[in-house]
Amino acid sequence: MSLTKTHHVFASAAETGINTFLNAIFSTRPHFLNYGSSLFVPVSTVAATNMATIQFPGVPGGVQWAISFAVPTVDLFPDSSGGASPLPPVAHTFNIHTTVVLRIGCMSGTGKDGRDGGKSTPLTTKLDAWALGEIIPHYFGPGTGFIGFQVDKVLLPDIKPGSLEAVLECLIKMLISGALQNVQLPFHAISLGALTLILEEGPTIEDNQIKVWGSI
Amino acid sequence: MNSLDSRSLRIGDCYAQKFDIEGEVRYALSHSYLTRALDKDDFLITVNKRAQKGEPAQHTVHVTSKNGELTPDLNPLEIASGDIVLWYTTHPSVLGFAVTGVGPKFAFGSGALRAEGVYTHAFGVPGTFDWVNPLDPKIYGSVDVKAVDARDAKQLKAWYALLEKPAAFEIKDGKVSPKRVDIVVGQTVFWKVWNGDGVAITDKRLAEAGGTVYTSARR
Amino acid sequence: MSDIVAAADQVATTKLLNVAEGLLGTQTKSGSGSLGPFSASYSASVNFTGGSVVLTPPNVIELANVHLNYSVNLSFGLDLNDFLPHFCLPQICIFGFCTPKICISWPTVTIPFGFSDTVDISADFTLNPHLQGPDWLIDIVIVGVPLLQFGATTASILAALGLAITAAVAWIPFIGPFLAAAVIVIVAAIGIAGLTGLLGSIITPFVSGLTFNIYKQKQHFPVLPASGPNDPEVDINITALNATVQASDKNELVIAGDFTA
Repeated sequence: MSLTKTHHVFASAAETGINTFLNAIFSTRPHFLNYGSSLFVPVSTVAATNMATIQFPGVPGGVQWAISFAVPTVDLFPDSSGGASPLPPVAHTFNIHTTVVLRIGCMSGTGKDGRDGGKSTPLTTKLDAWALGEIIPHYFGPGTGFIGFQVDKVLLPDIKPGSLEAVLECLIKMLISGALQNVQLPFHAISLGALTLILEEGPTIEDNQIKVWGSI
Repeated sequence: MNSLDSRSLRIGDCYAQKFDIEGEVRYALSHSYLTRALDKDDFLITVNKRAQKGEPAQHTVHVTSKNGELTPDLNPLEIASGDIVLWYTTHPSVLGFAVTGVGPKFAFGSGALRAEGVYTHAFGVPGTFDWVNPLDPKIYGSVDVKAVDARDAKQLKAWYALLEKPAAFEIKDGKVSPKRVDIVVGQTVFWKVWNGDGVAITDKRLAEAGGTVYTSARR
Repeated sequence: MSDIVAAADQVATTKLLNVAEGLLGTQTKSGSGSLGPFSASYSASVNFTGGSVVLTPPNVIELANVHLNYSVNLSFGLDLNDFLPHFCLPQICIFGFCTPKICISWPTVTIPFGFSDTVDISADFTLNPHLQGPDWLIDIVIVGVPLLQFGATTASILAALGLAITAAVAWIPFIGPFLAAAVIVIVAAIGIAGLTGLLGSIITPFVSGLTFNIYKQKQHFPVLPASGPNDPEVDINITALNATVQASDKNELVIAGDFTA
């Protein structure tokens, strides 16, 4: 069977290519993966995005926090982990594996004798995170548009109790979804600029590739 | 290249003048209107008394160009009164010349034809040619030249025969006869001036463009 | 598996070819050559349009009936004494005198002639992906030199040449009666063979080594443009590029590439 099938052109990005794309995007614009309030990110730069503290009565200045994601690794359907993934991709989906680093600025009280009064000490935890998602096309016309990534489910293995796991999984899912909104894979990049694609079918995930078909 | 203009003679043109008065004649050959007086350094024609039984002769002068200077092949020239001198050229480098001269009690020239002066022109391209005397616009006429396409030997022979037949205008007492002649490409037309103050035969378009009035030479 | 694979069938490859023809634009050249017995100087311009594609594995693209559109301006010297009879104005006698016989020397003239036409060419091209400076290119390069068949229009060009000669010399005095016959002889001296011989020498250099570029991108390929001080341009580095023709139920041009972040 031909690559183009009943269409005139075909383009595909393999799993390795997608991961290289993501590596390029996140290494050039790491602020997509790093967020924090003023204790951790005093000002937005290319490296990190400054966020507001979490306001709470009695916490002067609000709760200082930060979250960072390692550059995620994508696995396009079918599963390439050899069964090691706790959340393998199913048809037309991908999974993401990343490490989430959560930090808070733990504020000490005034103390009996005023020791360590108002001091904020960073506390860090790392979570192994898996996510399942699908690709969303945004096509605007011949050669224009991009592929977006939508997260549908997150799994944080071995978090106890289960209710804490559910809360954290929902939290991480929202944060990963928010971060991935910035990741746009242009259609022209899927052919390395060889084709000005008029999209007719796809994008679909199959054979460890993202595939599109169309004409020019 | 084949323009109708007695003031500027080219290949296919002739100027002939009959000399009746004995004496010394000086003339010049020039590319344009002669602005100076003639002198003893100019070309010489000596007109001698005719022997009683002598028939008038024709003297044909071929004009060439050497180092930019117009040169007659016969100079000086001795003729008898009543003889005709004809000037012409076959030299491609002679891009138009005029004959201007004076003799005892008369002047002559191709740009101001007077008594017994003749100008000839062979027409090389078809068309209708209105000619005029810029010195007196009441003297004018028209030549209608028809094209010829001689593709075979018979047509060529017929055309060659036509070339031997001249057409002619006669200008006398300020009148032109006929007013128009019809010829084919290659034929020659003659303008014979019997009298008058000087006639130049010029394509009307050239006369209107030129705007310069030509007068006779001075001695 | 390559990081990126793109494929185009014959229909799409034909469109890539048409774009490449437009990018090649108009080529120009000047020189001199033989137009039958005459030496002619010329300037010529050529562009390519149309044509269809047949893909043949492993790396041949056959282009059929590509229109080579050419425009030629040439000039050559013509010594009319070689083609016109010796001609003299005869002696004519009237008014008591005779004009001399005057023989006419025909000039050498320069004949300018311009014409445009199209010749269709068909040839095999091979794929040549390569890195040139900062760019990855995929060219298709002609194999050999195709036969140039200038066809039936050559006769009409020759007829137009006859008209050009006529127009260029009609002003010469006394040529009129000889002109038509002379033009026939001059055009016959050149002939179809002379014209196509000159055309072949003019057009062949445009076809020899003919190359169309169907892909050109920077090795540092921009994925996302810059959009603010904290969002610089995102590039990838194309480390390998290959182009082949692959067979299946329909033959396809397949471009495969690898890249690093």
